[in-house]
Amino acid sequence: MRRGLLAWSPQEIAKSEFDRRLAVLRSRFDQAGVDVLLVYTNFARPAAISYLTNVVLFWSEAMLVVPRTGDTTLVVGLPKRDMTVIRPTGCFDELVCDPDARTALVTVLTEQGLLGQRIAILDADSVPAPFAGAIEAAGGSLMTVDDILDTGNDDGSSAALQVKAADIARNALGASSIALDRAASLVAMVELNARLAGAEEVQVLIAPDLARDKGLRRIEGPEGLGERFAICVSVAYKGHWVRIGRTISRQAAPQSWSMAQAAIPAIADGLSAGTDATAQIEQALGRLQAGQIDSWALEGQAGGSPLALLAHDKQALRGTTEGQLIVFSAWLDLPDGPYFAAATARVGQGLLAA
Amino acid sequence: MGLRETIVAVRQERMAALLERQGWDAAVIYGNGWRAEFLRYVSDFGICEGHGVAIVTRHGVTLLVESPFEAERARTECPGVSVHLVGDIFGAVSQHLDGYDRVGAAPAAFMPSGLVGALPVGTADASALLAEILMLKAEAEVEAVHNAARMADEGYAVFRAATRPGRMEYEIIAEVEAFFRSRHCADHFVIIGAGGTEIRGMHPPNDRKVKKGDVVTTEITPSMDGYFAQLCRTLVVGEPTDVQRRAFSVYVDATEAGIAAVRAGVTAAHVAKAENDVFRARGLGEYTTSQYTRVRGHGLGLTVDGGPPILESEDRVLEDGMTIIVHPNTYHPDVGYIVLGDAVAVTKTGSRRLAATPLALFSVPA
Repeated sequence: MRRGLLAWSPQEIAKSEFDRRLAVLRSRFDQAGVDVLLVYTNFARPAAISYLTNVVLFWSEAMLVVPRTGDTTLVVGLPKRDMTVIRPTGCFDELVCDPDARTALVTVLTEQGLLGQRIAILDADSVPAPFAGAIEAAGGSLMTVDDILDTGNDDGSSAALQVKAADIARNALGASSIALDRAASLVAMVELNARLAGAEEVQVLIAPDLARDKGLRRIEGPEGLGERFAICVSVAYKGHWVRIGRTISRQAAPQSWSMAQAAIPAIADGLSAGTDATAQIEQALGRLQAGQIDSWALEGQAGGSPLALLAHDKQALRGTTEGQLIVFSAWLDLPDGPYFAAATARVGQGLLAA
Repeated sequence: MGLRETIVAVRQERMAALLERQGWDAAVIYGNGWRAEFLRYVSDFGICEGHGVAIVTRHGVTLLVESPFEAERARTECPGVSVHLVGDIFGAVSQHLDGYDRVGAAPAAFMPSGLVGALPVGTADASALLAEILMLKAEAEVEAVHNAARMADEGYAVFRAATRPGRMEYEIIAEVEAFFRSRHCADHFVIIGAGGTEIRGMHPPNDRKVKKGDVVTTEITPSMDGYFAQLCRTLVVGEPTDVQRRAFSVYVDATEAGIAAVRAGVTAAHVAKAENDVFRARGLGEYTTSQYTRVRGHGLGLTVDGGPPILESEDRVLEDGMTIIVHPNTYHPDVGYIVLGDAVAVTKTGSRRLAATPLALFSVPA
């Protein structure tokens, strides 16, 4: 399960950095033609509000109201008695708690005189429709806005937390014994190591026996670990996500793996910002022997999603920006059988973990 | 056929019957890592990342996801479902619905604007119908909840063993999480509270260290085959005081009164009143209000916090096949926040307790 409402440590991200991020966001309001930006979060879409306030909500939803000037207000769909728990977890001005967050949001917009202004919802297509419905029913009108928030714009604080998350993932995997017989035992050990190191979320997918199949999955029944298996570990630490994946041989690693072990992280490491990520990846993959590539995917932090799909072997979707956290993963068909790897990097700033 | 396959078959039958009854060509069911229950019901996929949309027709289930890892996992975990990794999930919904005129969709409260915009004009709101189907469980589904309740019993034993002075809350929960993973339990919800009269509720585990004399509360809620069962228990680090024991006895009486009140045909309000009357009789009625507590129990199943809510204002009638938790969790002015509660299956004649952990105030060495 995912923890949330994590303590905000000003030593990790200072208030001045959150102020700077907010100022950068507001500096883009004119160009976007926006007076008020609404930034949504729920348990599954934590990234944007985490970047702006440090808040990682738990089992609820919230909207951050960012007017052009003045106080920000976080409207949370939890009862008032939770205010004392939420307040210390983030950097924002006002806090409103109400189980009916949609109505409470309209009340805040009305009371602050914002309802008649030009309001936009970040990542609007992904936000529950009743929010927009409530605003429009109250007489407000909404406009669309794209690319106004750049979560790669960081003074190094988030980069440091991403490094920490990467260390947790790498160490959790490295410290877990591959001599175990049961897939569930390995998953449990990775989870324990990562949680004890402070991860608020750990997701372990495993293809426990590559001689049988290569489907990465959660373990919900008795499955043994084969001689070769693939594992993918996703870790969140203080709202910062990383993902690493490896193929592991319980015997000596086959010769054909050595090239792949270097190639996948190198692709993540070498990506530069722009709209041509697919071209960069395909060029790099083209240097591998023909016929080896089964599938690949590039994910990155975008909007409220910690890891959104940016491109894959069949489709280019979005470009990358400098400093953006990305995960490159691929399945290869090697002479010694299937091979999987995933690596996390910051665009233009190098590899975090593989 | 195993339990999971039986459950999937039952759910498919019920969805087919729903489509037939409503005259729908398709049902469009949304889910994400927070609100996953409807999507799980129709596709058996427990989504973790991104948006997921299932399109259910009489020909089968198409699952659209936007994460490559979710797509790979769904293909492995959900045989029989046609899984598609898509870049523009709402556009893909629109394409898949081309030619379908009569459509129902759910859950309306959480469907993203992009999805709503992709639905045909006149799409019916299927939320209440789906919620009802999720509440009224088939025998196999109740058995899955029972399996989860057994896991919760074992998990609480791990929790007790892990709780000792100096340990941070998240370190305690780490051991519980690892135990569950080792037992093939893929998902788990838990909140915790530790301290004294300053503690007004529970929260996700944080870095507060447990200390001698703390009252430590938890709601352990593992999921087996997608079905959650909850166990609420309280322990004291060290020997409980007489004040703590006396206070706790109110919760034992209220839980037992609540469980005794459960049977098919009574309202949720009837159960809540039975619990709250115990507090009122001890002069603690104030602590049954929303200032101190949320609900006196709730439904359990594919979600941690399902319907019906057990509240004195809730007139929903309990029915055979519902699984609920009865938990009179609230603040006590003498000792702080206390929790106690058991999952039960509603039957025609009463209820069947699903947990085996005693309704006791536990203690661990200080």
